[in-house]
Amino acid sequence: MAYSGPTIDSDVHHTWRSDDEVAAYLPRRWREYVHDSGITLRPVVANFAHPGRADLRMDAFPERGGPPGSDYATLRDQLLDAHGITRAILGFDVGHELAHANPYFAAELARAMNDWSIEHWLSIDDPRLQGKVVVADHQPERAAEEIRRVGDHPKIVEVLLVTNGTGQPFGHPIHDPIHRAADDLGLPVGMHVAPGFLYKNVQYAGGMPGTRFEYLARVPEAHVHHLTSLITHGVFEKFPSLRVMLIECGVAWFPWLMLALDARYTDYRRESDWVRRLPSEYFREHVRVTTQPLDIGPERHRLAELLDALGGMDEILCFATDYPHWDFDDPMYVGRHLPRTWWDGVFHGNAARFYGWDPAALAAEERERAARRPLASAGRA
Amino acid sequence: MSGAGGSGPLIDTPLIDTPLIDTALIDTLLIDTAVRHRWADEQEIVEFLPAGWRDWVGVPGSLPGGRGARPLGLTPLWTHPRRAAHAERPATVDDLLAGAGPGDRLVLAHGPGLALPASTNAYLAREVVRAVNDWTVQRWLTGTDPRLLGTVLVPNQVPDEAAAEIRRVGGHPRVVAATLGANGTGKPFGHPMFHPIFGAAADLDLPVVLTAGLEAHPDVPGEAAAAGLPATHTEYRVFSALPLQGHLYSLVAMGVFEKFPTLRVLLSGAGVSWLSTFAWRFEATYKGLRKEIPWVRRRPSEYLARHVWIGTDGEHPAEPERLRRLVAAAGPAPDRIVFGSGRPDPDATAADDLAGWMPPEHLRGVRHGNAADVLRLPAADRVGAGSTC
Repeated sequence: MAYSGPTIDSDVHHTWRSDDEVAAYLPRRWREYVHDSGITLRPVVANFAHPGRADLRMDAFPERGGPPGSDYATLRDQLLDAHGITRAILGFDVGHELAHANPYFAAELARAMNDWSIEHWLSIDDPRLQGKVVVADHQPERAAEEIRRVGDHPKIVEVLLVTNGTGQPFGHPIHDPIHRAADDLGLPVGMHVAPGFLYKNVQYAGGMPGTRFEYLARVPEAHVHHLTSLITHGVFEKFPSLRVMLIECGVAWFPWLMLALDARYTDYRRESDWVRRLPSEYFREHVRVTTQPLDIGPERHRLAELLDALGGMDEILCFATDYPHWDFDDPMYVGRHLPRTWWDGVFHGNAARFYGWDPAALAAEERERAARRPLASAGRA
Repeated sequence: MSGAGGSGPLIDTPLIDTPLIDTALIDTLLIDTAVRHRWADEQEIVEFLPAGWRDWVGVPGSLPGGRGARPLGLTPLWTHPRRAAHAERPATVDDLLAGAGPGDRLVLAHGPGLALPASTNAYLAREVVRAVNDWTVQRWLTGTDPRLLGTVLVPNQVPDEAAAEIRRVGGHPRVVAATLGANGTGKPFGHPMFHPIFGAAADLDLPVVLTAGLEAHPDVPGEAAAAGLPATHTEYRVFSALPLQGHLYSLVAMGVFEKFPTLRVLLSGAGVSWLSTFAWRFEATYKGLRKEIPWVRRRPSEYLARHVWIGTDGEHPAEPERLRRLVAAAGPAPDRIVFGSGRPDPDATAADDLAGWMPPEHLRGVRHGNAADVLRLPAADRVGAGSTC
């Protein structure tokens, strides 16, 4: 039997049909820069390009043109209706363009992306669409201003950090203004990051790999550092109500990291005595993790066994599809690999509590929507 | 110093047979794959350098204020917060062997020497690494207790020279592995430029040891972590699994195991529990991207199962029951885990702690049987019959 309650998708990617669509929100000076320089606002690093550039669902190209994720009707049909998604949190695609080495341009581009997202997507009369305010972190004070500028929009539910233009992990005190602004507005901070992606401002441990195969397999490395740095630098002591969502970084490595940090706690405190609690306690209280791409072991039961070595991961994982990317996970697939007792929490309960939504209201809304939906399109999991 | 910079064969002392041991002692046998042997004074190494390089390094105290020599060792960015309180004395042969049983083996896997291959002067790196190898063979492996085994340190920046060094030292009967040490190039070890190293190791049937944690040295070009520098030694030690992972994935992606099908790799210094929790993603990624790497003909898990062993040094079983469950669910396979202590570092792993997280039926393998496999030592259950390494 499949899961049939409300479903929150914490990692959905929306994008512009063409660069002009978002460039229109730039100040004239930067709009002309984009035009005259021919710079793309959808950059790809050739070394890590997907074979055939097939890193998107090939069935997700909208009929009216533009890339996957650029058309509401397509997204509604393929994601929201087809999979019974009650809330889809739109997270750009994915904001790596903000790694641009020019911090002034990056800040203006983030501002334009947020204005574009609000006008093109969050104004649509569909309660399922929710959004994030994306920031370029090169100038943390400026990022904080951007959070305060749009963060109180009723459909903006998260601050999104993608690149670290400062070259420092997100726990480093240089980023405090960003965490403070998020905390002031009651917004969680989402981190959807990758090492070594664009513009050389982030690195891989041990040296640059040669292939996309290695690049994708090693995406969690940056999250390992960002998460740990939040604990090391006492961010959760400074901002006790701050919440963090780690996005698309896998789930299987958390027991390793938390056991390793907890095991060294005595020495760790000698270096950072403001870390007053076990690292795993901060993790459990402040951090949630999206499921996609779900790490699966050689047998179906192994993932839950591994996560149970740490314990409590059933209250931490939040379902995500990563629509419209190639490695999209649907609810049935995720449900198959997790114990049934985890389903309510993973599919909606954990994220509802995280974003401050009432699970019962979401359930009622989803039931009503399902009743209205023609049977033919009820191909939900 | 007769070994200084020479290119001839090293002195080869016939091994003394290990005394017969009681087969009941097999459960207590121990092969420590990660003994971090070190010098009391850099002059010990300098004396093995050719004359010109000795002049280049200089003589400590020959100038005012104790100046006069350039340091050989590289300074780490972080040190252990309890390092000063911990007696990190230069271990002697006697220190190391204290408490060792008659059939035990201690593999000298290099301590401070590990950083030397990454010296930014590639010529200096080559010479110093050769000196460290000659020092290891003469000081530690010649005329000493046969329970001490060695590894050849590899000057990896110039791989043809690296391969030559493996062939020069690796044939010594008590040298059982090739240790790559710190990466001096900034390229992951799977890069084709390094393949002569793996060819030499495969020819000599020596496993290649990849050691975690060397990116803590400012002279090492590879990054210690993604997304910037860690702030603390604790983070640095925990994250040291990640460059190791990068090198391992690079070996798979660049087809090293296809090119050298008998190659064995030992991962050392970051514990065991990280490997499989990341490797699931590696496996899944392969399914989606094999088109990009057509020369990689097997699944990553198959290469790991065939070619890779992993040491316990760096594992901190503070919560052994959780660690036991993690390893039971995710691996690594118990027959691929080998004991390594990492001593005399402050974080050394104790053999007595293994029983807390390793099921009893696997203890014997982790203590000595698996290491005997990867190092091609006689199996422990034959040690009692009087054979030796």
